[in-house]
Amino acid sequence: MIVVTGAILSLFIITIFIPVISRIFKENAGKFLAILPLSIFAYLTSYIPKVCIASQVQTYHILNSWFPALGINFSLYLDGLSLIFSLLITGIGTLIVIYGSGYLHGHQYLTRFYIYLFLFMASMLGVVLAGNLITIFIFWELTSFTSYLLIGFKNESEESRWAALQALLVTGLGGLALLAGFVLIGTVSGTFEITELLNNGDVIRSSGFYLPILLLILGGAFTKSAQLPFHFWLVGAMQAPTPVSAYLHSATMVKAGVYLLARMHPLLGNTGEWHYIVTFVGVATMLIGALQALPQVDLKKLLAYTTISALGTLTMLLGFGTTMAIKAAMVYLIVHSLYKGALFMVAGAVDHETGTRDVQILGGLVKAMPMTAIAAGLAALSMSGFPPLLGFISKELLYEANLYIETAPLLITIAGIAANVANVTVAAMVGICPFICSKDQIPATTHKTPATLWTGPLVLAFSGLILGLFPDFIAFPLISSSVTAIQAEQHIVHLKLWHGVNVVFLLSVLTLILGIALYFARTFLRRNRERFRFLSPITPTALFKKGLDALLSFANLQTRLLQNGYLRYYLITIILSVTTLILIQILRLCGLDFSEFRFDVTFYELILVLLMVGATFLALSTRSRITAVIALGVVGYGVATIFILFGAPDLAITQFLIETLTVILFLLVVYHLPSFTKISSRMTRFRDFIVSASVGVVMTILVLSTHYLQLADSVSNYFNENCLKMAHGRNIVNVILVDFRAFDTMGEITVLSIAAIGVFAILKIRTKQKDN
Amino acid sequence: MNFDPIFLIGEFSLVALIVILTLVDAMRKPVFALLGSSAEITPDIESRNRQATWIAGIGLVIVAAVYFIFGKATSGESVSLLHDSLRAGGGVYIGKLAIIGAGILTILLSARYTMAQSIPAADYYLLLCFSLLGALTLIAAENFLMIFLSLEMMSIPIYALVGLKRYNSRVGESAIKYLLLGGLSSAFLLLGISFIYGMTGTLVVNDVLTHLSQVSQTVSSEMLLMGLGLVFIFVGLAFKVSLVPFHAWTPDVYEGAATPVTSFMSVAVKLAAFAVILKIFAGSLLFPAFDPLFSRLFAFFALLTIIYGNSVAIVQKNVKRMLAYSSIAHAGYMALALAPMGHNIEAVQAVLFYGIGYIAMNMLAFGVLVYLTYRDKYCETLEDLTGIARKYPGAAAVMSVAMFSLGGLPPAVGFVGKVQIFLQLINGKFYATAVIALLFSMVALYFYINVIVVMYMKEPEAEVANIDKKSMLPVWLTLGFSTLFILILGILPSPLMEWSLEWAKMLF
Repeated sequence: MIVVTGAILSLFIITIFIPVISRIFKENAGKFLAILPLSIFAYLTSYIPKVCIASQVQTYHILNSWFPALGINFSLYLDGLSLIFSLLITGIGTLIVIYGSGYLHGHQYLTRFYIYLFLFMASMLGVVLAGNLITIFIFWELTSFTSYLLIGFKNESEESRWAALQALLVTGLGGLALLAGFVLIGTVSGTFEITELLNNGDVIRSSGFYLPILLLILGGAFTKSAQLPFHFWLVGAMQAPTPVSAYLHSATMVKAGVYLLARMHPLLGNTGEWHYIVTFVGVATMLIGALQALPQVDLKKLLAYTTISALGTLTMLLGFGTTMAIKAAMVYLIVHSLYKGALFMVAGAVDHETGTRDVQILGGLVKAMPMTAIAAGLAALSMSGFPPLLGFISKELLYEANLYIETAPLLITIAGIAANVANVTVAAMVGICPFICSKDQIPATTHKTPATLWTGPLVLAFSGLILGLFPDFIAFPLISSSVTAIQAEQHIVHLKLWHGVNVVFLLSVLTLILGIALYFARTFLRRNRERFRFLSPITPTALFKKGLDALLSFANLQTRLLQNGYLRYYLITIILSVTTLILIQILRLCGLDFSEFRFDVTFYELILVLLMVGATFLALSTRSRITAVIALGVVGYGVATIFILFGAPDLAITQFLIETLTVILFLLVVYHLPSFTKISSRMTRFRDFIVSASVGVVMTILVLSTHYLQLADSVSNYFNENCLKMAHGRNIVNVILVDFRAFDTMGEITVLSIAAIGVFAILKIRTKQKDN
Repeated sequence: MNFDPIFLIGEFSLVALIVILTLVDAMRKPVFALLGSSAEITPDIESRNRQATWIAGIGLVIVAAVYFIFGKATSGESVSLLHDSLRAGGGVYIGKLAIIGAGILTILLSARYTMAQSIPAADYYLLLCFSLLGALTLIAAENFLMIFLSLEMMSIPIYALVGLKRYNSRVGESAIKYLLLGGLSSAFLLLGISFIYGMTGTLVVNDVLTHLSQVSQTVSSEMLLMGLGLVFIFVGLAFKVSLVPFHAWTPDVYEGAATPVTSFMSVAVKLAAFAVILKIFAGSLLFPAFDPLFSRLFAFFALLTIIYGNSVAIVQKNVKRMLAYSSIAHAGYMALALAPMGHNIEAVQAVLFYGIGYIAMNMLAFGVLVYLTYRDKYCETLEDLTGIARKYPGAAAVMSVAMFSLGGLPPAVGFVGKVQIFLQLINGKFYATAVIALLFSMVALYFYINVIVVMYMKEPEAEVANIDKKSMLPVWLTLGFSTLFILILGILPSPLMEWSLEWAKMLF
């Protein structure tokens, strides 16, 4: 297992050296780089016999204390399921690196392409090999991000940037849902380790959090695997260079969601919720994808929609959860990656040579591109399910699974047939017609197709043929062990090419006939393209755009409300928030109960209060600044007098002095200013009145609620007792100033002197300016 | 009281640096020059600036080294100093190192910036050191009075630092806004402290907490004043860490201030203020009388902050402003961990982990902006960043690392931080809160990734301007250190988790 770890790491590490490698090997850099994934592929095949002994699942802990506090380890987990995916990733990856070197030959960012591609490959391997939920999530997000880089590879085009961002946002959002689901699983079961989790699926299924966990995890899987209603990003992602579409968006990354469903099946599967949700979404995606594929004329769009349909089929099969369905899903997974990868590469080669991907124009290319034509033909036959290709076996298995489920077998079988009919039609349009149809004008090919462009598809297409002829070659070791992993119980699977003439076989024949018939009706389909528009509300691209726009206007609204740049609004916000908080505290802690409050004011107090209130209103309403300042002074004096009435003469004297000083200072300043003008509107004044009144009211309530408080001991007792004893003085105030709080006094004096020096300096500057 | 100066070695050496900086600058120019009659301008301001920069930079590195070496001895047991005013030693050692580290990174960034923008360097570094001193004592403070003093010592120099680029009216506006609103928040804080003091007769935080545990739920007015005191303190501190709706100053000030100052504010000031919030509220949430209200309070304001910060950041064209909103949102995440707390050391640890990681992330992001600032042109808007990847691949790469980490994507340290905070929420059964916060971190990805898109995928409209490569080494030191910090601790976070746990233990 340490070698497997090394494999993932080596894919990450090689990206650092890619610039150097491509400088040294120049033209052959792609071929050289392909050695790495190829050797990983070769090494992984050595695990095939190991994992087929069911109990022998390989786990390996790399960092046992990655997050010791949270129980998150960096561990790897290898069983039949991971192995199938790892083989697909490295195997097809090897071919894609070679193909990409031909497809992007001479592109200025070829090096960057290799870097992104290897980063993706490493992350994708990480997803399928990770043995810890959090580790899965990390690699999962890395695949989203590298996919973003690859989709946006043609960065000068606005469309491709938008498609990249859309894909990132959709899959990223799903990733976060996934994280939430994983964390919930961790909370419920107490572990993130897959090995431990697989043993206590019951704990999760029986917990109250089962439904949220299921929905969150399905959210992650469905966004990644482009299930309805998130499938729109995959169509946009066709903006990517074709090698990327072939690799990420048909063979590997979009299957990560399927991997996750399969991986989670022992934990979350076999419940009513799982069956209904997963099956329904799968069937809907399968049908919508197939229907939308038919009227397309662009090679890549045709393939993209059928990929969506295929992903729907896989999801549907996992939703059934029967052993037969799982078996069908695993075979379909392999065969789809093989033929769809090949067809995408063929589409890219055709595009590269002729400069168009329009199936209405393409035709008769078999002479110009013979090798590509062979690959295309084989892949198309596999896609449409002709014997003796693997596609045939897979379709038989699919129909068998459909026929033997418990609920609505008939409806689901019909849906399956419909999707497969579309597959046959699209296979003919993409893989056969561009090569043999006779057209008035055969598109000119510029030069001989380089070998790099047909090696990949040819290898994949021939694998489909060989595996079809010798199905047990993969069935026994790989399919058996992966079905065992998904069902969490021992299963031995054997595949046969020929089952004899039975219902399933007849259905296959029917599919082919219908598909070919539909192929000949293709011009009719295209002419009636508008009719398919009724499906477009199901394409939520518009909704997605609207969502983004709504977010933007939400942001703008908030900015206008809270960030308008005016200090007064900031202050109002703060003050109102604080008063609300105080009010909540008061209401919560003691309520508005003033029963203990005694209303016994004396005559003098009443006069004073009236005077202060009057002065306040005068200060507010006058137009002369001097009057306002003096009125405020009256308020201050009133407060000081109240202090006297309540027996605090020292405080009162301080207040008197400060009030006098303030008034004088104010007057000095105000003297230079013009009188008030009314610049605020009636509305503003009213608003200000409300704000200040609410503060006043809350403060009053606060005072009323606390008037009978028992405060902690006053500090004066301490001074009283210790004045003579410690400081040897009888005048308590003096002793406090020069002894107990000598440092305070010193600090105040210092501050005053610094301020004085500052004022002096400012005055100096002013006189100097006058002199100049 | 046995007082061992070794416990305050960091503060003492910083004070020594401040004195040296003042004296050396005074040698070159009489302090009372303003009082003299001659208005002669000192001939080479530049050499004076350079000298101050060197002294401050090397000095602070020495301070850090001294504290790192001699302070290590104190990292075992912690002690209370000066009549329970300060706590030193133990995990505080970690906190102080983090703050000093942030200071060094800031000075490294400032070196080039002050030269290029002809900011009076001596004033600048003095103010920075004073603020740093305030932050150091703040995280060690054990006493409400000390908390207030340190908070002001940390903030007042910042008010001045913000206004130091005088020639710009935008700067003046932001400085005065900050000053006024800062004064208001300090007033709230003091009011709260006086309420608490009035009720308990003590200013020592732990004694207050003990008192709180004895507050009987039946005497409602006692509860009320204690609760109000805490609310006022919360408001005062919420202002410092800019939780919505006390955040209004942040974008203006971040945009207006010199970029290194902004980065210092966004990391060191915020971390120190959070340490105090944790100190006061982690303890007070222990008590059943206060727990439900304050935990809801934190959840509410944190969510508001996250929603607001992340969604408004999307529409920003100015990167500094965008980072300001992002820093508001990050304060929200940190506050979020307090919601389910109830005396939970793991939550405190999660916040501190995030805070320390955030130092590296924001220093990196702002550092790139400093890197790209040329003599007469600030690099501030998205337009300035457009297509820089080809010309400055290094800067674009580290900026991407910063955006990854801020966005909370693996394998950066920001991811680990977010995971820990969300785990706290889940453990505390705050499911709805967690879901909303998670959704808005998704929204946040939009603007973080957008920076990367702009740098790598868009063609610049005009040619990318040449930057003056002079004295670029210090900036690269900051960028390099932060990048390594983010990536290494993102992949192997255990050491940082242990450090923050050490520190967290000190806050109880």
